[in-house]
Amino acid sequence: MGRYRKPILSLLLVLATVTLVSLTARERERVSWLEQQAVELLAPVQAAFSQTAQRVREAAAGLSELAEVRVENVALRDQLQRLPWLEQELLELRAENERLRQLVGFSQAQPFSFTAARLIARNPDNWFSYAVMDKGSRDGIARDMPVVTHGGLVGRVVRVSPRTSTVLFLVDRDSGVAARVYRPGDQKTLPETESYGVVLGQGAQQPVLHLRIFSHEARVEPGDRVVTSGLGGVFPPGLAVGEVLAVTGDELGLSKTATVAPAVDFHRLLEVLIITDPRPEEIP
Amino acid sequence: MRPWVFLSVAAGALVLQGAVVPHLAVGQVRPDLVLLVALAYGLLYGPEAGGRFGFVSGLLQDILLGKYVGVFALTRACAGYLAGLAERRFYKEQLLILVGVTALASVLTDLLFMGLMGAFGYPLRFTFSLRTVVLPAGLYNGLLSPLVYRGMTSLRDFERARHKATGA
Repeated sequence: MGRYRKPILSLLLVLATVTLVSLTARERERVSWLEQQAVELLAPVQAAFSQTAQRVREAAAGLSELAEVRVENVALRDQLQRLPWLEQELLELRAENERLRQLVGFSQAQPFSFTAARLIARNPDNWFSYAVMDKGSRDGIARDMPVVTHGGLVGRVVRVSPRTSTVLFLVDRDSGVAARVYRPGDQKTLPETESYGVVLGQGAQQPVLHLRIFSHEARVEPGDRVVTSGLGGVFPPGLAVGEVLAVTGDELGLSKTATVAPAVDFHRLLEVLIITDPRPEEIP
Repeated sequence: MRPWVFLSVAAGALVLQGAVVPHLAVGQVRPDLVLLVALAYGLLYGPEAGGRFGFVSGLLQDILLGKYVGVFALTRACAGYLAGLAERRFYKEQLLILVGVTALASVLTDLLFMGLMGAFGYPLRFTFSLRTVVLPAGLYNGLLSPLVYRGMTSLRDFERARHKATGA
């Protein structure tokens, strides 16, 4: 019996692990106590390393830019002479901006409350696409809250512990977002009934999204904008998702798929905003 | 290796992988430091120790930063075990052999990962993933392996010297 002990134990361990994978492969409402504690324990170390790595990266980039700076210096001297003109232009733009803000009542119309968060670690593999943020349930963060930047939608919160949470990026293959297409300044050419679909991530190795369009008659074209439709119940409507790059139909002509460039550069994300009230009473 | 050093190496590799390695990505591909350490561990200490280290470091990765708990524990355990088997068959001090064995182990680990994920319904396109992730990551990991292997060798030598000095 003694000589079979190790193989039997190894086999049992493998079976137990496979069972664990199958249990956690489903969408889970809550993560286990052990997972929460482990993440909490390592979060400060990850944050410190992440910051250091970012600083080193910036320093390295700074060195490589030194040569460019010399050339830039000459150009800047030239531009300096135009400064009075630029100042005047800036003042005009500022005034125009203020007028437009007042006109559309942007600040009053903003229906969401945000919590700012920093990404302290990314998934360590080449397969998935998510990141750990430095805000958790103690900061009011809950599962399924949308995560955005000023550029557009980043993803949704899939895992929460007291001080950290995990955001699943739009580009992950497990990500799906109800969306609609609109053509800026030309709404008539794209009836609402034709413009709905689901945006699906294509995995970390492919930085584009696929939009499965429900109607095969949809006249979606490159350059059209994709925004959340609000139909899934997770994301509020109107958040920028990306821009259509190309549209293809299937062989039978039953459906259309658009390739969409995300509005957000997922590789450069450092800070994000978590929408803490994604379903406000009134959304314009 | 003492248990706390064993755990510190696994946790350290994981922290670096999550916080620093993403900055080393070439295109969409980043090296896998945890895998590299597991492979080096197997090459230095043999199949059982390699498998053990792979399992523990993979499980830590699954718990701390993973999506499906257990996937990396299994794949890393296999990688460490296979590297340990290679330890007796190849002259690993030869740079090219070390790079080749690591690249091959990395590719096999990723194929195992794809098989597991496929079995649990995660949508992966085989040829595309092979071309864009598995092979480039294998090459990247292979190229970095001498560095990690050297580091792990130094740690082992340090541990041995300390062991002799204390007479334990």
